[in-house]
Amino acid sequence: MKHHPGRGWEALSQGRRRWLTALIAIPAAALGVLLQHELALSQPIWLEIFTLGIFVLLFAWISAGFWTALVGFFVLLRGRARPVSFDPEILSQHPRADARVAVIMPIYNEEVARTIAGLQACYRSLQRTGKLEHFEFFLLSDSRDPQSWVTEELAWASLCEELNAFGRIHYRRRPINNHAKSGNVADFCRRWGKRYEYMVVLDADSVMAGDTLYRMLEVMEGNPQVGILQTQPVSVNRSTLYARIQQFSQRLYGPLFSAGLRFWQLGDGHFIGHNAMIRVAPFTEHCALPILPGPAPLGGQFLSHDFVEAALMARAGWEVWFLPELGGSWEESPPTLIDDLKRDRRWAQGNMQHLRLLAADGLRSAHRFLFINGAMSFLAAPLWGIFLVLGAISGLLFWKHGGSTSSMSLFHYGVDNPLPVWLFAVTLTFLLGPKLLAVIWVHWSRQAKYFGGTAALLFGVFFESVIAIVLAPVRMVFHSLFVLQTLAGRGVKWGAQVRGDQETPWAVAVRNFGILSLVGLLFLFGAQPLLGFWHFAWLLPIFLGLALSVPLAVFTSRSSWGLWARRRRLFLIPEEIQVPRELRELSPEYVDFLPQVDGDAFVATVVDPRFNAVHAALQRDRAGLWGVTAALCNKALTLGPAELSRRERNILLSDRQAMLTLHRAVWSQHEPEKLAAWGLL
Amino acid sequence: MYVDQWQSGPAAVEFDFSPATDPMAAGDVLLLSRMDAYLSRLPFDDAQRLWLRAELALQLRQLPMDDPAIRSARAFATLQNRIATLHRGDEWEARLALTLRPVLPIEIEQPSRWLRGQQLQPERTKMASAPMQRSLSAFLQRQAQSLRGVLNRGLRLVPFFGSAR
Repeated sequence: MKHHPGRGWEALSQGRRRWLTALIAIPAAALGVLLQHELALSQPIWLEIFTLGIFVLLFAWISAGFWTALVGFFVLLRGRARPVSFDPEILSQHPRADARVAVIMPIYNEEVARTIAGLQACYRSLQRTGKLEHFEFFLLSDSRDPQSWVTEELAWASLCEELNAFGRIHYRRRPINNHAKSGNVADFCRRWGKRYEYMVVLDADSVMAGDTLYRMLEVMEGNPQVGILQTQPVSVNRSTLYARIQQFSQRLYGPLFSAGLRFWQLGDGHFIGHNAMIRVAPFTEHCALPILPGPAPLGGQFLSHDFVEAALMARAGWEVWFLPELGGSWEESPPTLIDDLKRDRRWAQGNMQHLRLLAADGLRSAHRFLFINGAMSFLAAPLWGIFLVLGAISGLLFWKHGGSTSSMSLFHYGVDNPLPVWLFAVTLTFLLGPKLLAVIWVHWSRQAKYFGGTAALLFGVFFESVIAIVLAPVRMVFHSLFVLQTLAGRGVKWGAQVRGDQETPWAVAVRNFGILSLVGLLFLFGAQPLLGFWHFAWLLPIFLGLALSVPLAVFTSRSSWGLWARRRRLFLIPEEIQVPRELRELSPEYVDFLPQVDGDAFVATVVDPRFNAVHAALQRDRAGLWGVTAALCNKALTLGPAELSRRERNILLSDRQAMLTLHRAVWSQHEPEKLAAWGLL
Repeated sequence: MYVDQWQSGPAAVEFDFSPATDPMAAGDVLLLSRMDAYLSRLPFDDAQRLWLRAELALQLRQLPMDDPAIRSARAFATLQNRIATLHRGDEWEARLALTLRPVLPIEIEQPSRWLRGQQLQPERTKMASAPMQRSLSAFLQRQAQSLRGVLNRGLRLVPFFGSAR
């Protein structure tokens, strides 16, 4: 274990975390005691214990968010005018001339034009800073789809040609993509890690400004004890209503939470897997992911690698810092509710796996807390669901014992017993308080104009809150399902993510949310006589959310609605008022040099003499496969390319001689039907 | 007859074949337009393109008329052969050189080797996960030990316990 001198932040962070623990535990315990007084009078002991336990857990969890936002609010108010001596930013120094950074972008069956546009925007931005000599770029493909593979390869060659960057932008495709993204990054470290002191990991939808990249290099150079520097990527560029609401809320509330997180974490920060700079040598030495014993989904490979890598880095004595104030770091959020839930499905499994590391030796308590917090993001859903069921049982018991609407067991609304109202008010404050604080901060720092003005900002917050409340029960149901599926042993695998603004058709929405809507409608029209008016009114937002899930999924996925809101300055973010150059360069006209591969890219690579020449040059002669490739060439020529499976195409594409041979043979054919199969008629 | 667009001026943009007066068969219309499509995909200069077409037409006139398979294969082989002469006898390298012409240094003899050279050669490093003790009981023991330490330190501050030690 490596210990660096001068970790002055450790004592401070320990003190701060003790405060956080107290702030979480004391109010939760106090409210628990108050609720216990209420429940003891009316509930059987088993119901009381369950209800109390879940309430305290859920309240503790939301209060962690509240206190983080509150602290962040004061940190932002105070400003960064008084940096502390151990802040890595103030220890930054001019990089050595031979300091090398690899900017790596692991991709998997991504939309190539957008990927290349992002990479190009980073490259050009660095070029403008005049510091390009420290940086090299890697497009690390794990694509299995031959269409994606050859499109990426041709796009890479065109990009290098456009930027005159052969030798500075590299493309590598892994033939076997084991361990998904983390395996892809690890493969880079194994092959080329020695050549670089630092690497910046980008997602396929990430963009980073050259100034930010260079600033991170300066910070790394001045802080040899730092292993990972994490920026806060801002969600941008989406046009669907759903994504625009997400962008707005993240941009508005995010700075408070980020500042608060930084305040608690200091050098025990988190890593989200992208838009971060990593010191390669310690990463290679300490951050290889262990394989969890037992079968997937809770065992085997980690589905979410980032938190674990940060924990392993810190375990080895390296510091992990979160630098939210750096700016110049962007990403794109899922365009629709369905895409967001698909991502949550993977994260749910990954975060549940992290719980198996809670007892691991040598981990720092801050990272154990992050594991718990990550898992609670999903476990909170079933807990809330159980809490609602317990409430319903409580209500039923109340009616069974002859209760009346004027006096309710768990929900005494009124002057006789104001406690439930107080509990509700405190919970609401903890949930909505951060939103209010964010509005105050934005107004105070005169940034409201960057959110469309004060009126648009307030309307935006109101509508965002309504949508969040209505969608909360939908998320609860799905997150609960994800947790149950994971516990039941049903895993998911990483797949290509949807990056474009694709609207959700009604049929897809009904397939995914139809049952929820039906259940919601049943409750909406049938539950009132069973629950009584007040209990029904209490649960109305949940029933409404479930009932409206189908139309909400459809309407919020529409770009037209998102653009309508934008025209009315709703859900605007500063990046839309003053568009950074890097984001402007993501538009299609900046990548119009990319080759137009119409239709089947495999066919294009066989037929087009330029594509074929470039692709063949990047492959090797796989003499051991020539028996197989000869048979596949014959199959392709006699039956046509449509008859080749994806695997067969991948085999042919991976052998230089097969591709050259096919090229010659296809152009030498004369039978019209065979020529037509290759698009030559 | 086969009229090249450069020979007849810009107005004649398509091949003109008259089987009655020319030894080339009607099927050659398709063959030549296919070869023309091939040439159009590579950035030849005008002189090269003209020469390649002339070579192709010449070759076709020398081939037997009754076997379209042979005519097609030989036509393309001729085209490849002539393209190869543009770059040290290697047709593939010639295609690559034409494709990479804007960025390829003049002195490069083998564009394929140059392109591969732009890819970094791996310098292997080991990256393997370290053993990790994840036993819950061991964890609890460590926590208990640490708690004992904290308690002991706290007790030392109390006069009675502190003096007892």
